[in-house]
Amino acid sequence: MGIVFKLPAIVLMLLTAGVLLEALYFLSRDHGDKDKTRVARALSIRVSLALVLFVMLIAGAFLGLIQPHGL
Amino acid sequence: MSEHATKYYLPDPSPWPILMTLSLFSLLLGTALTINSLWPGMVFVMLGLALFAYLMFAWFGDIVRENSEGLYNEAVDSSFRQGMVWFIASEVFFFLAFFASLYYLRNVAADWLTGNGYLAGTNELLYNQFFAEWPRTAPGLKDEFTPMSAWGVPAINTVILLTSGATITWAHWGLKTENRALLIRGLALTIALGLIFVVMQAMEYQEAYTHLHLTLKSGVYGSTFFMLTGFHGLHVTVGSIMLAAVLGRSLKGHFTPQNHFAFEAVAWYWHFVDVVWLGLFIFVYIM
Repeated sequence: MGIVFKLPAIVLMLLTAGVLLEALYFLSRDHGDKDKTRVARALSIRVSLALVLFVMLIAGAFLGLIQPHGL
Repeated sequence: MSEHATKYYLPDPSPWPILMTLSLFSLLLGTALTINSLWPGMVFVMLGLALFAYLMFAWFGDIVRENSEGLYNEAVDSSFRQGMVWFIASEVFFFLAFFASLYYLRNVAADWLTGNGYLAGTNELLYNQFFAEWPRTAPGLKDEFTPMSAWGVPAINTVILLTSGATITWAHWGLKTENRALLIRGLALTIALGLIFVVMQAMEYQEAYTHLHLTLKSGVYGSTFFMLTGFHGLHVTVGSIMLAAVLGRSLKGHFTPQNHFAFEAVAWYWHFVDVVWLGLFIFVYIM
């Protein structure tokens, strides 16, 4: 698995985790106000990033860029 | 949240804390006895679990009631949010420790055992025929095993969890836009997907034990595989139970666009479980 593939995958993974933690911060701050949608928006972004990452992994598998257990 | 409550609400003394202590003690004692094959073990485990389940219902029920009676103010709400953040911190470190051990085994310990790095002497002292290969059979392990492939059920399970992330997000926006039907539907779908995931994981475990000869005892690969995926599966199960509780409360109309911390906390927990799975999919199944 080349670095060309590994690096974007790691970046996406870190971004996904980062947005999730950001959502946690918003959850601790926003007192459920009706107009505050920061948590919902951050979590929506989280799902989208995760989807992109998964599609990338599937594409990598189909293109033969990923060897099983080939670290 | 009531505007009138100005002081931090102090509940009357209740039996829940001491009963919770008893329940956890029983669970722990039962587990220790069971591991040592002593018969009262399972009895204590079952009693402990039953009492725990009852207490979840009773204690949280009290909190829900106190909230709906308007006894809570901003300070109480803040304390719940802080409590959740600390709980999540402990969960993050819990999974981090298992991922870290996987990294350590593959990238540090294996290197030393092969004869590289500053503890290269272990190769000579312990087992000079060792060579690093993952997944590998441990020296002396009689049964060869087949490692779990990522591109069957695990990939399908990834799709399932990702979809459940989308459905819980629909439910979340349903709550924010006062679309009750969307909230209920999204929650129900999320729970269904979560349960399907757990069932499919259980079937994969069965497949591992019977056909792949992959067990907890299959060297460090087997240990790390089952510990990581097993604890993740446990978290999905607990998450599904919490979602079911939130669904029940949603059906009863407990949540308003202003007062819905429980929903957001459980929704966040579900997203966390999905992110951990992505990590598992990459580092345990693919790599």
